[in-house]
Amino acid sequence: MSPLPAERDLPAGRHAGMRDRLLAKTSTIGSADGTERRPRRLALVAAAATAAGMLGVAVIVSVTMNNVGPSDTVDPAAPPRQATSTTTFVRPVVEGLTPAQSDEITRGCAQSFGGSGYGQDGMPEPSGPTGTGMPEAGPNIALYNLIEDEAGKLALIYGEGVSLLCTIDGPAMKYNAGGGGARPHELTGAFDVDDESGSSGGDLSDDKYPGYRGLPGYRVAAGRVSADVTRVTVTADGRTVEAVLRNGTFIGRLIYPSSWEASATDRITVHAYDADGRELPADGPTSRWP
Amino acid sequence: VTSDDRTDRSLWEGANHGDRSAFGTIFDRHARAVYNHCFRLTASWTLAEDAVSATFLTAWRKRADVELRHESVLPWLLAVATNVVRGERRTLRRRAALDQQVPAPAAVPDHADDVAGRLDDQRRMRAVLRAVERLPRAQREALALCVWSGVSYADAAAVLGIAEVSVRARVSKARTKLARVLGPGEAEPEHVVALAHPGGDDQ
Repeated sequence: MSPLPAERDLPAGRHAGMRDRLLAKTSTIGSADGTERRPRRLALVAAAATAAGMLGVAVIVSVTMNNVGPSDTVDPAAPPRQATSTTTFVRPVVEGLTPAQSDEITRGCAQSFGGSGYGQDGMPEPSGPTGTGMPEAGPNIALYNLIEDEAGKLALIYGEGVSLLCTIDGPAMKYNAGGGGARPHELTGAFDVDDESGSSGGDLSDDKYPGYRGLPGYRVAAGRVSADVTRVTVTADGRTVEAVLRNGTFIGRLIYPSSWEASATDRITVHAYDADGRELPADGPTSRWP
Repeated sequence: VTSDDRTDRSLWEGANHGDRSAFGTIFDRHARAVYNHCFRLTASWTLAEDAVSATFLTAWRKRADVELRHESVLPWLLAVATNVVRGERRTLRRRAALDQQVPAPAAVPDHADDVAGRLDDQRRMRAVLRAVERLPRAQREALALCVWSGVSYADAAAVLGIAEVSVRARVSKARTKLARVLGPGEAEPEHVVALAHPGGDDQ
């Protein structure tokens, strides 16, 4: 049996209601430029790209409007944004890495994420203002946090519209970005979990990937914190680890045996505390959207 | 839902000339597919409903920029829906939080069985999405478009603005990566990706 739920109709009565509201709105909405036009002879491809672009512009405008005022500090709690005449993006510093090394990790992870598409050979196709392959991430995409433990190196990256959690120097791929991808919004609480995921131990890997044998499994939660947060804990399966806080972000990873099998349904709990040990409220649900 | 025999191309042409009833017929014809596509991207029937409205409003606004290459407008609508879900994540997330506090509208009550069924759908879909979220977004969306919603590789390539071989590569990578991430003993990879073979294509 397929695990995907069977298709459903809109709830009873809502199809007609939605149709009526839609057509009522169309009477007041022209085309994108506000006027009725005769069709232009544009290809469907161009139209789809335009639709995507329109949404992208809306995102950028929204973020800019929500972050009015100059800023000269590293603050992912207010998501990285497009540089404007009133804002200055200060690239975060990760201890132990040069700016060039941070940029290389950012670029490699973004290209691994494949935001802008793949070339004819199926490999990521670099493009965009920073050569990241993710033009939608904007020019201020950067590395904010990096941990190294028994499961290897794990980087946390934020851009204009994305968050990426990326394994570095893995057995099969130098950069392997997974999870994340959400458009970070400005924090209104003490923290938000932008990525919550896990990976089975390497002993369960396909025979095609012998390099993974012996690698531990893990569960991880990562996200952003406000300036009030001095401690974050990540709990799953009755175990709790201290997250690594850096540049207004956190990564907390629980390590499991190499034979451990990840479950798609178990949840991770995240708690944040201030300097006095008081627990602080999350910005919305602590589990990943939705 | 509709008895209008006109093709999508004909209806689209009519909509472009301000024929709102033609656009209404397009809505009748494809709302269900868009609704289910959005559900698979959000694991929430409520959010999917919002996304359907936003998708068709966007389609209306952009209708003058679209000339159908194929008879069906559905692939393009699904691509717009994907962008809507991606771009409106913040709004939808807030809405999801509100939905947890506010009872569903009572004007058109659902049958209890239907409500229970929809809740079960959401639980199952969340489990699938949590597995799929390990994939890069481009692969995730190709999987949803081609495998889950049955859009052909050629149509997906057209609406995504990339080569067909790239669509195939994304779906192939998605399958491989899911198997690797979840391990061969996990049931999800097989279930998640081996659901359909659009257009009878081999994958």
